[in-house]
Amino acid sequence: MSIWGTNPAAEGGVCRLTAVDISGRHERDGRYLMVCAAVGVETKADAVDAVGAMEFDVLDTEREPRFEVVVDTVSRAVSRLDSDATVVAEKGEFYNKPDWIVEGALGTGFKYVETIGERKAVGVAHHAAYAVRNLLLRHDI
Amino acid sequence: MRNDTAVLVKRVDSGEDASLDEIRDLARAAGYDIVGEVTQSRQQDSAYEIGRGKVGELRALVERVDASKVVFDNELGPYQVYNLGNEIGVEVDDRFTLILEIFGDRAGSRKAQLQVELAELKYELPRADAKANLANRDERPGFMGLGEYDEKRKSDMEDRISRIRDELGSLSERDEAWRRERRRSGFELVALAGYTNAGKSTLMRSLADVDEASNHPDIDDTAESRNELFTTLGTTTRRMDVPGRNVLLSDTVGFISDLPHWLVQSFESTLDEVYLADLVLLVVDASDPVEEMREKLVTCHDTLWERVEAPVVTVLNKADLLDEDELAKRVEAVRYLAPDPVVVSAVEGDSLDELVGRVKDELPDWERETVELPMSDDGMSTVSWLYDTAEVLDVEYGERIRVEFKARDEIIAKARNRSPLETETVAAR
Ligand SMILES: Nc1nc2c(ncn2[C@@H]2O[C@H](COP(=O)(O)OP(=O)(O)O)[C@@H](O)[C@H]2O)c(=O)[nH]1
Repeated sequence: MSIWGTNPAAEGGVCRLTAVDISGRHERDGRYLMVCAAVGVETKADAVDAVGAMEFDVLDTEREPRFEVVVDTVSRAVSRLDSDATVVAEKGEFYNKPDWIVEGALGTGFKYVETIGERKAVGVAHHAAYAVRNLLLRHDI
Repeated sequence: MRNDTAVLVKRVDSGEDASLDEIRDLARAAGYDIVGEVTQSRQQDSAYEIGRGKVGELRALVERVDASKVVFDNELGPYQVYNLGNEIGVEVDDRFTLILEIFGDRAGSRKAQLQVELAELKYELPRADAKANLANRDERPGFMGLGEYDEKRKSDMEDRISRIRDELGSLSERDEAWRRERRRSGFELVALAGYTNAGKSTLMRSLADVDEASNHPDIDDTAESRNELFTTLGTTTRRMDVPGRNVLLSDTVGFISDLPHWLVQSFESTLDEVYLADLVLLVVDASDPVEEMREKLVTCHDTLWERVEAPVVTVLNKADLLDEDELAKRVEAVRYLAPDPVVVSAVEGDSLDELVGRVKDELPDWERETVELPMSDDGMSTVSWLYDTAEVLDVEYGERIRVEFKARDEIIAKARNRSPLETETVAAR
């Protein structure tokens, strides 16, 4: 295979991932209402190719969430998806802990966002989590 | 580009990384020949940044290599610049003035030039008092460019800032018009993105139609508006010869790591072409160490992701500097970020045909579509959005708004989503 020009071996390059995002990490009226969205996606380096199932987990607490609590919430949302795809999240989501620590805690493959496609996928999860949280707040659930 | 020589200086606190890699890249990008380098690990000196002894060494070095400028990879205050200039006898810049110089050299469009000037003024303004002060006590007026500082200077700067803001406002409106015109005329925009020094300008020269004159006749004999289209283009946009398509190729300033916050905004606007492009060519210097390549790619993706809708094709440039094995290793190392790169040498002209072919393949096909929209605010805003993103062929206002347009798949899909009514597709052309 020639290395010059287009490299056919890598054509396609679609990755199956679970994008996660948490909405509501800041205290409001003495309460944290955190919604985690886990979204099954297929991404390419420069785009989201497909969006599949979505699952959520809600955590309502008065205590400021620690790393372990965030991990539990994410784990629950991800396990409902019943997918073994690598979980991808933004750097801030897990208190900037190294990816291998998060991977160990979650017990699934994990990586922080790198590509445009991954970032857009987490953007989708963000919109989903945000919308669900608003719904819960508006209806005072 | 200038043909000046520069000595690079960096002071770090003990334990900090004293690498000059990045300032070296920046200095080269600004066109300097680097003739000497000095680093020092010590506490910051308030008058000279580096230690007094080191200043003496630096002066000796500058004399010996006959450098025309000294560039610090630290942010210098006005008094430090003044003191150092006095001691060393040549102009002293810091990292940020160097970045401004690069922006200034490469700002092709009027808008980008104004953004750069605005950034310069914002950088200068808080320093104006200090400089006026220095100029007044200096027995050699005019030395190191300080002579122009007087009481009036500061209010002049403020005036200029407000005039630039006004002009930028009206330019944004014109940009909008230009974008619509470009779509209407069937031109597609391909933008070069990537770090400075990756080889974007070189690639631009190799890919653009060499004979500028050959461009203009076919512009002249078409719609009047195309003239307007081309006079509005900055110096960094050229026709690119892609069979069967009308393609404009735009160069950009390029990414620079760790931009100071006051520069971020003007930097963003230099990327306008990238955000408006139909296709982005992300140019990477394949001769960088692998880890650096990866880091730069991640930063590029981070800068682009929110606003880029177009496909991104990664171009691994400077392949001539590597043997096949080394090249293969690098392609593999960045496969995740760039699964399907085009490997080229802009200087040698290797594989440029393939790159052009790839541009042709990746440019989205435009299909003809008709949608009917409700006669409402939402409907109207969809029409206006179509003018921005599609080639609108016809609009009929009746009980409903009927729009006929040509656009990319995704745009058509979005337009259908916004139209609650039945839509029909007419085969393209
Ligand atoms: N060896 C080699 N050098 C290149 C190639 N393309 C660009 N360069 C050099 O890299 C430097 C930066 O190129 P330039 O086009 O100014 O980069 P830009 O900042 O991205 O526009 C210049 O010295 C070019 O001559 C290439 O394909 N091979």
